[in-house]
Amino acid sequence: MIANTLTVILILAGLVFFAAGTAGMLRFPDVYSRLHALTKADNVGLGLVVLGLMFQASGPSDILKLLLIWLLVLAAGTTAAHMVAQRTWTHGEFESDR
Amino acid sequence: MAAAAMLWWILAGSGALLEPLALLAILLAGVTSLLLPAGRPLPLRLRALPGLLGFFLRSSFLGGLDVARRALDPRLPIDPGFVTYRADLAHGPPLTLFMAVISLLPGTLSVRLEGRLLTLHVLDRHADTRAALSTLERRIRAAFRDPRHRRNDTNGETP
Amino acid sequence: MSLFYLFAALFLLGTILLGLVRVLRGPGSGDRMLAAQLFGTTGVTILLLLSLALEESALVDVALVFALLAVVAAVAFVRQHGLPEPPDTPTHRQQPESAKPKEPNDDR
Repeated sequence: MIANTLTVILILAGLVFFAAGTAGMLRFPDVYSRLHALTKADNVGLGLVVLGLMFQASGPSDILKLLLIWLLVLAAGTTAAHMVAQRTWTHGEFESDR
Repeated sequence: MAAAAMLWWILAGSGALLEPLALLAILLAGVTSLLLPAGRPLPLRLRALPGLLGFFLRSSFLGGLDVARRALDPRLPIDPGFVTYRADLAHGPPLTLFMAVISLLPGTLSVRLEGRLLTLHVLDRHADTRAALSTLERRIRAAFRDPRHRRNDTNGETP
Repeated sequence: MSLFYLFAALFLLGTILLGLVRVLRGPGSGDRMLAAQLFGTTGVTILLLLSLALEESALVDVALVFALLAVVAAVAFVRQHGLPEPPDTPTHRQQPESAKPKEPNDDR
């Protein structure tokens, strides 16, 4: 019962971060700022959801698998953000997509 | 080898650990990792690792909180701009890690690296970015053994 | 409880739909790419939630593969025109007055 309550609270908190990430993506004025919103807010959102789901896991291997997913997404997020930022820097912000 | 066994356990669940196929896969993964030219081992201080990890998690959470607050605020309190910073870290893993973690810190995003000169994008030009960066730099320097000053190895621990 | 997971997944699907607005409006290809990145993270989360809602534990493995592929998408985007060009090559900037990069560097 307590586990379920914690799960619900953590997932709801995670959803707020996802909503904030999307809001930032729509409202921020340039590509770089949008990257900020995306990488940080969504990673925290996923982290909270993962934390919440851990209370429902059936064993330690499930918990570690969730953790592994989160770490992978975290690494992917920062790497991708940096690469997109670097490319925008070298190719210009208003590069058309052919 | 142990890492491969661990990974299999995570991916397939504990019941599948002793099946012949699992043992074969773990064995092959272990042998492959020994055969591959792994390069030099990471000059990482294991003792510093938990502190570093905790610092990453905390700053990544703060970063998310910061940007979420700014994105949801109706006045949109951001003042984006570019900042340059000269990092004093060895090339290779320490500098790469530094670049990656910068994107997790509140309000900073690494854009470009030329030599040791970093170009960052910041969400708020009035925030004290430089202090946060040098804190991170100090932490990473404490976690890696820097080949450039080997003599510091014994007492290079930062409190 | 599984109803709650379904609602959460539905909510995330809603944020993806809103994010699609950014993909449609652009303005640059970088914007579209970062929207794709958003779908990567959100998609992983949706899969995790669905795996509990539908009691289909295999979806967690699907989420794992999604997480792995997210980087590949970004690399493919960055490399689509070959290697990164040096910064002084003429870029495709359509708005020459976007004087962003050079000036702010003077704070050392």
